[in-house]
Amino acid sequence: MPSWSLILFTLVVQACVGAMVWLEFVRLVPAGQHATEQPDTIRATTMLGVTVGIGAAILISIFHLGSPTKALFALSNLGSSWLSREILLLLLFGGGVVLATFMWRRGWGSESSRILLSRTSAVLGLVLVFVMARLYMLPTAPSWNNAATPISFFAASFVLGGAVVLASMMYGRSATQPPANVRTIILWALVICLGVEIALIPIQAGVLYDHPMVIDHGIRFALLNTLMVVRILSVVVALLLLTKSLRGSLKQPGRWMLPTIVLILLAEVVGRYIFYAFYYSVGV
Amino acid sequence: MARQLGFYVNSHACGGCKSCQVACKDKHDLPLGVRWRRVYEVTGGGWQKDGAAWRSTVLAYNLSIACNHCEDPICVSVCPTGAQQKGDDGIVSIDPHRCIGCHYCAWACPYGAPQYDEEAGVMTKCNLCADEVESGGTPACVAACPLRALEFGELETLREKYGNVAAVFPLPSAETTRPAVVFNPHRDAARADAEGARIGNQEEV
Repeated sequence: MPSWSLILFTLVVQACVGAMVWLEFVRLVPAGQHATEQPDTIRATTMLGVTVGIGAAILISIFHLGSPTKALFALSNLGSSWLSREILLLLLFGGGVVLATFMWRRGWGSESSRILLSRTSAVLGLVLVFVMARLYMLPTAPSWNNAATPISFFAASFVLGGAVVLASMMYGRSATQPPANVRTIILWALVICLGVEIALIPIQAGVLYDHPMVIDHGIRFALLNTLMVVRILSVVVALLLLTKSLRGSLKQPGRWMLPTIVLILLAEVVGRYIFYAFYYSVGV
Repeated sequence: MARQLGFYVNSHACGGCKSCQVACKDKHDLPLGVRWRRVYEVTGGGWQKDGAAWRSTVLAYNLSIACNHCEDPICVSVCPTGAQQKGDDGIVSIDPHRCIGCHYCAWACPYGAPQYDEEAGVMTKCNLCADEVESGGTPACVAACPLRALEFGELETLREKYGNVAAVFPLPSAETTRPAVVFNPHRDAARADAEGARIGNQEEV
């Protein structure tokens, strides 16, 4: 049974990083002809959500430890431990996001300083996702030590972050609609990232099914099969809905956005569950 | 060259009585579920048709494994707190006052050495009975073995006496962590890997 705290922690952090990256990317997109609102109202809603998410992730990471009171020792081995580096980057990213959120919401500092801090946080977030992936790429853990780990972590970040920004656009406290081209870009990016996740499944399955722990144990074999089917189905249906939405062939596309986001969340949770539950190392 | 203590495991002689495992638990008063030394029962083979006859290819042997106090210990390099330390005598130990119980060392170790103590909230592992060794004694597992299948000492001395085999099925190649252990493999160990042998007592260990 994998640790749900680790599943939650990694997904929440990656969603927060993805959302920050999308926010900064969206800002670079020129507003469309019929735009009635600049992305900064999206920013206010999203950054508040990211701040809460990072706070929750830090609490989850502390309380999943056997000895939470000694958590600060985790920064003691930056020289060789990827886990130490992950904690440092999490604190830097989280600190940057919290400060930037306060600056945006309270109007502190100049706009250029707020933008600089937000972009620096987004870049730190990307480094954090790389370090998170690197942490699992142990030479003794074949199920994790392959290219699928960093690719899937980055894909999950962009997918979940995109979903967070889309949700902010749709359900945030805004009377007006964001630029249509921003929404289109995010939807296309979701399609591409989910496509990457589908393409990774054969690589991941190849590693997972090639182990006696799965082959010999009927229950584990059946569980892996079931989870794989749920993941593939949820990704494929989400892809179909996104594609139809982009082609304009959905009646009332806004109504389909919530089910699409739910399917994306389901796919990511199941994918991460598989990642932890079917971990194996060489040796005994 | 720094001192490096290690174990010699004579898998050929091991009868699988688990005295070593019990002596270790007793000496260190280990809680339920924590086993610094474990005896793995490797089993495989079956029956093979040989012309008109059926020939048994059954294989089985025991492998007693604890921490191998690796020369290049992956647990030490991945530990975020520096709680995992390699001493001047080559013994790898955990400082319980620094360990945060993150389990990362357990994921990384290919020998299953770091074991979680639920009550204390920290990882624990074989320390080669450092207190006994310091006072000229032997580790509890070595002292308890009725078949003299275990020995300990300077790694160089063990290698001179018994050779250089540091990996035997189902253990990984010695290149990753350079374990301070010498094996006398069971005669079936060579074909165990090729014939898809398994650990028969996975639930127990």
